This record gives sequence, structure tokens and C-alpha cells, in this order.
Amino acid sequence: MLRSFGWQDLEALLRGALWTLALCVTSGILGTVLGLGLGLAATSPSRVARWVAYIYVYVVRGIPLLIIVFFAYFGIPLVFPGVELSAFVTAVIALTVFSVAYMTEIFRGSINAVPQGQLEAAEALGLSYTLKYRYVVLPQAMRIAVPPGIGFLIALIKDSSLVTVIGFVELTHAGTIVSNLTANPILTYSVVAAFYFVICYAVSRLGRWYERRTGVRSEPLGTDAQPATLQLEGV
Amino acid sequence: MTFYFGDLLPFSSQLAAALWVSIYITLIAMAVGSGFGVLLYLGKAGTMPVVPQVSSAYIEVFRNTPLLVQLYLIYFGLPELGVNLNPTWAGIVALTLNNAAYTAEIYRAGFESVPGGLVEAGRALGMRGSQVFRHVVFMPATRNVFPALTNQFILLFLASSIASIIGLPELMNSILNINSETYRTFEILAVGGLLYFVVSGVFALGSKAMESYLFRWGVRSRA
Amino acid sequence: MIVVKDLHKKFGSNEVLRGIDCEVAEKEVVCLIGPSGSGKSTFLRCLNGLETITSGTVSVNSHMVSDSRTDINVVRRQVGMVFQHFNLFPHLRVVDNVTLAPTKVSRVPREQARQKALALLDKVGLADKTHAFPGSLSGGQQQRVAIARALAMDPTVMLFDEPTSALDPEIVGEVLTVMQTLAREGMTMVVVTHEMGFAREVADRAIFMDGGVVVEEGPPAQVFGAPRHERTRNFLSKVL
Repeated sequence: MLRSFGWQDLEALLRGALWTLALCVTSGILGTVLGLGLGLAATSPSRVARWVAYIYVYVVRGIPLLIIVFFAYFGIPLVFPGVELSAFVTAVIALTVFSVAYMTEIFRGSINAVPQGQLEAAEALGLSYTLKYRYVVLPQAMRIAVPPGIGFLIALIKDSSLVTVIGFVELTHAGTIVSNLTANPILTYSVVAAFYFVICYAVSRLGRWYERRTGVRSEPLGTDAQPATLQLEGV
Repeated sequence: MTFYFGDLLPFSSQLAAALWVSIYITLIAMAVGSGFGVLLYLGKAGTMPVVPQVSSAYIEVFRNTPLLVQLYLIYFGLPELGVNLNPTWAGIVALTLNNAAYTAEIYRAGFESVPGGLVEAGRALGMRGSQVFRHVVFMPATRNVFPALTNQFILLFLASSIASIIGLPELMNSILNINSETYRTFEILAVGGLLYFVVSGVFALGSKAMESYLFRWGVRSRA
Repeated sequence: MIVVKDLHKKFGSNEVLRGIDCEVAEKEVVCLIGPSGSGKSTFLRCLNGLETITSGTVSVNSHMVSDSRTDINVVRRQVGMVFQHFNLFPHLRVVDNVTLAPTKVSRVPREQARQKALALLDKVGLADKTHAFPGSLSGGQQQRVAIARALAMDPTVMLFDEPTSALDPEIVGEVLTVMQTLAREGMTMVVVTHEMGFAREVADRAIFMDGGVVVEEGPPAQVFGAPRHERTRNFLSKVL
């Protein structure tokens, strides 16, 4: 049933784009919250906590996202027999696991970037670990974390395209469906690409606005002042 | 739940072969893509008409759209224009074009971080722009961004798994095939993941060694 | 050798050089002194085209540097420059730093360039460091390599932009000694410097610049000993 590319196809793609956003916002928020927790673990005085964080980050970042997606898709029904999760939830789980690893690294870096003098001043004033973190370290670390966080959000938006393999109808999957219906892959996928471009570009402008407003700079990509762990964009 | 890793043994050579495919498509994409990326950067930073805008646009488009969509456009889209690439070539082309855009940005940071004094010294000696670039600027710039380049290589290697979606016979594809043959999902995903993990780790270590050797002139070009 | 007439240089709306007239004869050693921001370095950099000229004429060895049609690289092959921050190429060994330009620009055969480089490095007192990387050398050693590198092109004029300003005081001497040797051998030199002692001893002529103009010039004995202008006196009283 072939037809030419029309408004209903554009609408289908738009719906896909909205699902992509829903997916990324959800995983992004979950990933940030959990990543903050693990980031605190990564910088904690407890060796065990640091190791747990380190291993998690190291493993998740050392394997392709596709493996994580398939692990979620095939693995959850195996580990929890009888549980049937929707494609959306499975996708969110996979992307959250992925996001946590990157956000942990971002928070670890930001917490470490708070000048030593701040910690010393807080300790000299007698602030406990919790107070010190709550009032001195984290507020500053959060500001520092925003530019790389936005950079990661952009990567997440692009990487969310991979959940197409488990059949979740986000933007890329919608594109595949439309492309097959209209036999017009170039037009279809160009529109899909345009949607991604607009979303990512908007987010990066947001990031630049933030940098301008607060004066917090993200590390220029490539200088070896920061180790490769904070580099997120690559594909 | 029980795990039977033994069921995977008969497939070990298949996995190894597929791993090699992943590695070599990454190598090609990195080598060609990086070269192209440097050219893109030169085009963007240069003074020719139109070229800077085209380079800029290329970089922005490839960095703000998913690799998968780029891959689809090449594999499914190009046949519309009469260009039929098999999955392997489509995958290599997509990875290369994608990598070029990221390399261009990495090198931009690299070249901009080379102290201006070095360029002046080269020019004062009578060297032309291209000579200054080749002999004075390129190595210090590469040294400055070497960690980012190795990181890029590892990301590219992991991203090569995406090509499995169009059937390129690399590691991820092999993993999925073995899964459908043995139904040992956990085991094969774990082993596959481990392979990616270990190979990336080896690359990371190897690059550290390479860095110490290539850049044994030590001190970063001082400002 | 060098003839500068009514040189003006603007950076945006900021006029840094406001009409400089200057002539440097062959074998002459000219020292440029003056406060920061007086335009001394800018003037020097106009001579080999590292700064573009807003108006006026600059001619070096009869080549019109100020004319945009002139191939500036021809001029640069004849003019050597030594920078305040040395600017050695960190990824090349010392000897390669010196041979790079002769082999690539002047197309001197590799072996010939090497021999010359080794001779020059010996002359500046660094025969034992020929295969070291710049990163392992002290500032004074690096600057001497930089001088050898510039000399390798057989220039007729050598420009020095505050060559010792970035060096620790104890090391300044070793560089000045090399420069003194060059002067004695008859090299035409234009030196921007704060080293008044060197200017007094070695220069044939001292030029005091302030606010983008030449305030006073003459033999060092006169400029340093009996300055005619108020501004010159003010400056000298502060630095001497």
C-alpha cells in the first residue's frame, strides 16, 4: 500500500519526535537523580562506595548501548518471569542505566572541580559532611555540571534512536514505518534528521545561553586537562 | 535461573571473526574519517569562499543527528539515487562521515590551543601557511587532543554495533544471531559485552603507551 | 638596509604607531627602548610583515614590505627574528628546529643544512644539546637555539623582540653575550630591549619611543648620558 509522503506522515513523525522527547526527559531526569547519588558515592570517603561507582561507570561506558538495550529487553522477562513491561518502560530502563553512568562521571567531575579552598573553609567552620555538601559543595557543583550535562542530553537524544530495535515507536522507528509506507527513504529520513537536528540544536543553544548567563564554561572538547572520561559526544 | 556458557563455545570462532570485522571497520572509519575531519577543519577555518559555511554546516548536521539515521539515509536512501551499497560499505561510509565531523571539532580545539607564537616563529622564518601547518602546528595540536582522539576511537568502536541493525556482519550482529540459535541470551550478551569491554580497554592502554612514545618530547607546547 | 617613512599602525581605532621615520644602515646595531605600550614591538613586527601596515612605507633590502604585492616570504628569508618567548618547535629536536626552515623554505640539501646547524649551535654554545628536545632546555638555552635557528637562514638583518625579558636574571647574560658576538661580527640588528646595559655597550644608535612616536634618537652615550627630552629623562630615571 504505497502512497506518497503526505501530512499524515509528517504527523506520524511529529508524534515520534514527541515520544523521543518523553523518553529522553524521563531517562534524563532519572539518570540525573540516580547519577547524583552515584556521583556522591564516587567522591565519598568510603572506599567501597567509590569502587561501586567506579565499576558501574566503567562497565556501562565500556559496552555499546545496544547491548544494554537488549539486556533490558530480553533480560527483564528472564529475571522477573511473568513481568510484561511496555516498550516505553523497557526503553526508559535501558536509557536510564546508560544515563546514570555518564551523569555519575559528570557529577564526580563537577564535585571535584569545586575549589579545594571551599572545602577547607567549610571544614574550618566546623560543617559536617552532610552540611558541607548540602550548602557548599553541591550548589557549586551543580552549576559546573550543567554544560557537560547539556552535552550529555544531546547525546542521549541521539542515542535514544537505538531503542528502535525493541520496537518502541520513537522518532527513528516512526521514520522506518513511514519510509516503508511511502517508499521514500530520502525524504522521510531527512525529515527525521531535521527533527533531531532542531531538537539538539535547540538544546545546545540552551546550553550556550546558560554558559553565557552564569559564566560557567564547559571544558573545550579535546584539551587533556580533563581526562577522556568527561568526553561524551562521539557519535 | 541457570547459566550455560558452554553452549556458546562452538560459536567462539564466529565471534572472533565478527569482532575482527568490528575492529577493522572502526580502523578504516577512524583513519579516513580523521583525515577528512582535518580537511573539514581546514576548510572551516580557511579563507576560501563558501567552503567555511559548507564545512560548518556539515559538522553541525552530522553532530546533531543520530548515527543510525545517517546510516539509514546511506543504506536505504542512496539506492533511490542509484547508489547501492552493501551493508558493510554503507556502515563504513556512515561511520567515516560521522567520525569526520567529530574529529573536525576535536582538532579545532587542538589547533586553537597551539600557542600563536609558534605560528609566528614559523612565518618569521619564511614558511608558507601550508608549511607552518604541516611542520609546526600539526604535531603539537595532535598531542594536545590525543586523549580526545583515543576516546573518539573507543566511542566509534562501540558505535560500530549500530551497523548490526542493517545487517553488517560485525560483532553485535553475531551476538544476536547466536542468541537466536542458542537462546542463551544472558550468556551471549554478557560475553559479547565483555568482548567490547576488553577490546576498548586494550585500546585505552595501548593508546597511553602510544602517547608516551609519540609525544616523548614531553612538555606541552608552552604559552 | 631598512628605510621606514611615516609609518602608521592602527589596531581598530587604537593608533599604536603614529608616524615613525627610521633608517637602519648595514652593520648598524639599533636598540629600541621605551615604556610598555610605546609601540616598540609593533614597530619591529611591521618590519617583517608579522603586523600589517596601516599607512606609510617600509622597505627592507629594497623590498617594499608595505606593498601588498611584495612576496613577504622573500623578505622573511632575509630577516631573522628572535621572540621574547623563544617559540621553539617543541616536537622537534634542537637540530631539527634549526634545519627546518633552511630545508623547507630555502631548499638547502638536508646534509648541508645539518652541518650548518651544528656549526651554529656550537657557536651559541650548545654543541652538546643538539639532539635534545626544547622542553628539556632552560630558557637561556632555548633562546640561544632560537638565535641559531634564525641565523640558519643567513639573514642580512636580525630582529630581536625583547629577547631576554622572559629569562631569569642569571641567564640573561649568556644570551646577551651571543648577541654581542653577532654585533661584533657585523650583523645588522634591531633590538627591542629593556637591557640598558646592553644598549649602552653594544648599540650604535639608541631610539627612545613613547606613545607611538620616536621621541629621541642618537648614539647611546648621548641618549643615555645627556637626554635632550623630558620624557626620555623621565623614562631613564625610572629604569636606571
